[in-house]
This record gives sequence, structure tokens and C-alpha cells, in this order.
Amino acid sequence: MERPIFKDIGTKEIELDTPGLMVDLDSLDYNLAYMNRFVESKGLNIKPYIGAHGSPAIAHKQIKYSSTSGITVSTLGQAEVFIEHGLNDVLIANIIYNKRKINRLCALAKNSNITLLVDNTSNIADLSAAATSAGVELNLLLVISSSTDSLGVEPGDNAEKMCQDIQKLPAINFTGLFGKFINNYVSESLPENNIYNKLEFNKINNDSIQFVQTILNFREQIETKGIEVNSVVYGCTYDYQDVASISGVTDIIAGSYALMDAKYKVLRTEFKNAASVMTCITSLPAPKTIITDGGRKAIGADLGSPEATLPGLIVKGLSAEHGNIAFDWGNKNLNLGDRIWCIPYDITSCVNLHDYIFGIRNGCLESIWDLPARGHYR
Amino acid sequence: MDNYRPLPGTLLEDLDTPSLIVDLDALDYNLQSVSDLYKDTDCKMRQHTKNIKSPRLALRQINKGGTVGGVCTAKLSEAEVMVEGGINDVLIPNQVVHSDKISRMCALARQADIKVCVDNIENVKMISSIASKNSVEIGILIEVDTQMGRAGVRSNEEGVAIAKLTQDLPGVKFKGVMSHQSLPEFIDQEDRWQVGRDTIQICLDVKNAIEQEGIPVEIVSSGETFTIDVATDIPGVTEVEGGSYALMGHTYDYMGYKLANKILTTVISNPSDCKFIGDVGTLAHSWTGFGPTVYSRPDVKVDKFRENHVVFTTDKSDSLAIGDKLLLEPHYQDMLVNRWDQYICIRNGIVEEVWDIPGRGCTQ
Repeated sequence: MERPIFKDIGTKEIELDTPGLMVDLDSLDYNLAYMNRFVESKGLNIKPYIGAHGSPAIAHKQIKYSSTSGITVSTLGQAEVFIEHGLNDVLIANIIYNKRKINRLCALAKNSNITLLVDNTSNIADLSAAATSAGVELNLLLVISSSTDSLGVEPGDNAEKMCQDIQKLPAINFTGLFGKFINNYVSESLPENNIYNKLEFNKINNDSIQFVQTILNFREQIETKGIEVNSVVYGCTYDYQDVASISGVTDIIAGSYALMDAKYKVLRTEFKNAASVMTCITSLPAPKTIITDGGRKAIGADLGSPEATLPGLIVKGLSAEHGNIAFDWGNKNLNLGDRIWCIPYDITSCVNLHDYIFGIRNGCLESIWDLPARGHYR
Repeated sequence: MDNYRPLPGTLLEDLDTPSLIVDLDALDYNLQSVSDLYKDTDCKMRQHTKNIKSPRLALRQINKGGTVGGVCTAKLSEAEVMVEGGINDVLIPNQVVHSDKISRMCALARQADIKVCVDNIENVKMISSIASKNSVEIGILIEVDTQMGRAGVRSNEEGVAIAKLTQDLPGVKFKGVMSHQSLPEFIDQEDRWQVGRDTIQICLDVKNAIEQEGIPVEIVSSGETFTIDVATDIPGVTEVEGGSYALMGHTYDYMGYKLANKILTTVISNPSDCKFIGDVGTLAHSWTGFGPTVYSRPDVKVDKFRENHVVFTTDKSDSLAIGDKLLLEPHYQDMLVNRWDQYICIRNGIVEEVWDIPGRGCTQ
């Protein structure tokens, strides 16, 4: 667990311990309200992906809006934690596959509305059998794959057969189709920071729209066979705007819009940056060189480097425990102990390293929120 | 915190996934190797807990021998965890600069021998002031930058000035010098040793300059992992800060230790021919530019990592099947361990114990 020095509510942000994950509450509230207005105007629902903040407190803010149709998580363990915190309509955007996990899933379904993804016939049969003996119902979304190496099945006869299987088998409901195009990944063959490239934004967006169309065509194909499709669940913060304009999509998934991060900051300018890791200058070993206490373990750099919030500061690199920052501020003096704020490149990677969010309004501490699902990878 | 704690006796293949596994035979081999290497030398091991985050694991090395009897920790909060876990000699090879944190460090110094590294005169004065108000003594080592471009003094004169200052201040006791350097992989042992000697010499130069002022230097702490087997032969080096050797990542293969930490993953999808998806991603595994390798399966390659999934490619479409379990061997392990709350400890394919990782997330 993180072991910060806790301070009283009302304490100035700069007096809080470092490194710490700070969230500007006005910006957070603005982002949530903006997204709500947008999806409402399109007649859609949003299933916020809570992995991008990890906080039940923020999830509760999100579901207060009428446009929210439950939350999205990525593991069964996250579902358990968020249900325990009162969020009881949950989409697990993953395959749940072994006996231990399926039993836990059915236990959850006794008191909550659980939806999950499937892409495999024998898994569908296992889920049906377990749900039948537990006396619960599970809602299934068939995943349509966006590439040859993503979860899911290609639209076609095999996929249609799976939909029919789900319809026939007891205790499982065929709810609809699920797709996610934005296929961000890391690989040894890719240079760093190549995950989201602004120049490719329009191209990826266009490809994504084409992919939604593929899903919607498949929907039409199976509806003519009498298979009813209630939901088409799609999207992320990257492409939500264009996806929302396509008739046929019922639910949008997006997560990063709540706190935002460095990778989306330039692409989705309608949202405000709400999250940063506050770090502390621990060494000033040479001119124009700052060493901070915020390294890879505090800010996260799996998918890319963070950005410092102040102009003139360049993050040169993060090691495990230190940040190495160059600055050019003329004669301005810096001191040991001064605070430096860094915006993480990828917010989901960052919150997974923290146990607390410090909520800041007007420069003062307003709330301390637990991140209780951190590390629940199973 | 995740509450999965499989009973002793559970078979490896029956474990839920993803899970962080420790092979106890490999771990004990590594700990024993260090114990043997440092048994009869003046230079001793001071294990770095940033790589293990567990006082229990650190005590396993201390009990085997070859150590200074203490550890070093990346941060103050990690030091607190180690002291709570029963370790009473902790060096923080890092700077503690904020008055709140220094107060907490002084509180910890009531329970254990605490030493911290400095590279700045104002910082030493603040530590002295708070420590003397609290009637405790903090051990002071001067961090020397041996061309890494990070923290540390960059000249003998700076080092001497700080050492002299400590002689006149209450609440602090000058102990010695420390340096940290990480270098790219070395294939050739002779080259590695030569770079090791040259690097450590920069730190020894500061030590010599301080001694010329009549100030005794008790500790020369070398944080250069790659010098683990040469520092013992360099006169003047009193301890080596070794971290990765215990659990190991493939980055340090040249050191000859055994890879003891692995991630167990299950194949959950087979979206197309020769492409398989496993249930662990960057969040649980971490990513530092190099992917893991698959244990004892040269026919399975790690192709991509996503947030919660890994993509494997195989040469043949029937090389893997949904439900198969694989063990991933990390390239660099300390970012990985920092994301988990338990080690599931295995011997001969059977769970022997489950250890908490209480230092996980201790970045403050």
C-alpha cells in the first residue's frame, strides 16, 4: 500500500505528501457533465470504464447521470470490489473462463446485474451450466474482433451460430454485440510513444467507423434470422464522438475522459486535464537539472512518458524511483522540496500504481478517495 | 487487496491466473550464492528491497548470511515497512528533503539504525535540526554521481564540504559514501569488471578526499548491480547494494542467478490461426520496452501487450489451446513486483507458502 503522510481536509495541495495522485475536482465535474450532455443529446447511454480512475466515489458521480447504463470493468475482481461499493450494474469487458472465476461470477449475479463478453462456444456452454445450477442469469455480449489478434470472432456464420447457442441455452441471455477498435498495445517492434499518434488520429477514427459499420451489418444479418439484438456496445474516449453519430450503437464505453491524460490531452481538447502526480524536488545536482521523487513506480511509463505541467520543464526520463527533469527558467530559483506536477501519459496505467486519489478544489484538499480494486487482476 | 491465497499443496497448474509465482528453489539458490560469495570477504551484501518489497524475503537473505545485517530501501515509506517487518538497519540510498518526511524518518530512527544519502548542504542542515529536536541520530552517507547524471555530488570538493559540515552538526553522524549506476548489458566479464572498477573509483576518490581531511569513512556502499562479483575485490568497498539478484529478470542474465519470479497466465482466446490471447497485460506485468519470454516454450512468442491481455504467436495452430497455462519470465522485475500484493511460492510445482508484499506501492 501507499503510505502517504495524511493531512486534514482543507490542507493546501502543496503541503500534501509526495508522490501523490492529485485530481482537480472542478475539472473532473466538468468532464463528467460534458460527457453526459453529449451522450444525452445523441440519445445514447454511456457505460463508464472505471479502470481509468479506479475510484468507487467517481463511479458513483458517473452513475448519477440518467445517461449511464451501469459501469464497465475489465476483470472479475474489479467487478466484485465495485459491486461491494454499491455499483450493481456491471459490464465485465472480458472473457471469464475457469471454474473458480465462473463460480464467483454466478455468486455476484445473485444480487447484481452482470454482463460479460464471450467469443467461444465451449465457454458459452460452461457459463450456461454454471448459471443454471446457481439459479442466476448472465447477460452475454458477443465480441466482434477488430483484428486477427484481438478478443472476439469475425462476423459470419460461426458468430451467428454462437448467437443462436446463447439464445438456446438456459440461464444466459443474448444481449447484443460488443466491439472495440482502438487497439493500443506495446511491442518490442514498436518505438516508445507510438501508441497514439495525432497524425494518425483521423485515419484510426475512419477505420473505427468502418468497423462499427461491420458490426451493424452483422446485426442486420442476424436480426433477419430472428435473433434480437438489444445492445451494440462500442467505443472509447478516442472515438466516442464519431461513433455516437452512427445510428445503431446503443451504448458507448469511455473511461479516460473523466481524469484525462497526456496522450488524450491533444486529441480530446473538449475535456480538461484533471489528474496529475505531484512530486517533490529531491536533488538539484547540476544546472538545469531537477531530480524528483516521482519515477516509473509513481507515475507510470509503460505506454509513454509523462509531461510536466509547467512550461519550460521537460521530462527527460523516469527511472524506477526518480524523475529526471530538465528546466530552463532563466534565473528563477528552484529549491529542494519544491513541487513538480506531472501528467501521466496513460491514466489507467497510473491509477493502477496508487491506493489513493487526493481530490483538490481551489488548491486545497477536499477528499481522499480509496482505489480499492487496484491489483485485482483475477 | 486481492484475497486469493491458495492453500499449501495446491498444484501450480490448478492456480487461478494471472498470478505472481516465486520458485523457491531458484530463490534459495540465489540467496545461497550471495551468502557464499560474501561469506569470507570484508565487503558484504546490503540487499535492496525495491526489488522484493518484502521484509520476510529480506530476512531470508540476512539469515542465510553474507550481509551487513540490514537492507537498503528506495524510499522512506519502504524503510518503515522493513523496520515493521523486523529489520533494524536500513540505508535509504535516496534523498529525504521535505520537513514532514524528515520528521517521520526521525520517528523511525527511534526504532532502528537509519541512514540516508545526501548531496546538498541545506538538506543536511534540515536533517540535523529536526533530528536533534527529536533527540535521535541519523546516519549520513554522501551520494556520489558516478556519471549517471542523476542525484549525487559531482566533485570531491562538494563531498568534502558536506562531510566537514556533518562534523559540526548535532543529530547527524557521518558514515560514508554511496553511488549508484546502472549500465547496459555486458557480454564480456572482463569489460564489465573494468567498467565496475572505473565507476567505483569515482566514489572512492571522494572517500579518499574526505579521509585526507581527517574524517573517517566507515561505509562505501556500491549500488552498481553489475559489480556484484567484482566489488568484493576492490579495496575500500564495504558493501554492495544488490536487488535484482534475488528474483531476477533476464536483463541480468550475465550474473548467473536463476530466474525465480514468473507470471502464470491462461490462454483465454484464439482469435485466428497461430494467435492466442493470455489473461495478463501491461497493468499487471509492466512494460519497459522489452517483453517477457515464455518459460520452456521456445515455440511460443510474446508478440504484443495490451492493458489486460498478451498476444502470443506460435508457428503451428495447435501449439496452444484455450485453457493452457504458460509461465512468463520478466525482462526487468522490480516494476512487476510493485504491482502485486502476494507472492505465491512454489517448490517442485506445488504451492508451499503465500507471502504478502507489504512494500508494494510504497513510493512516498
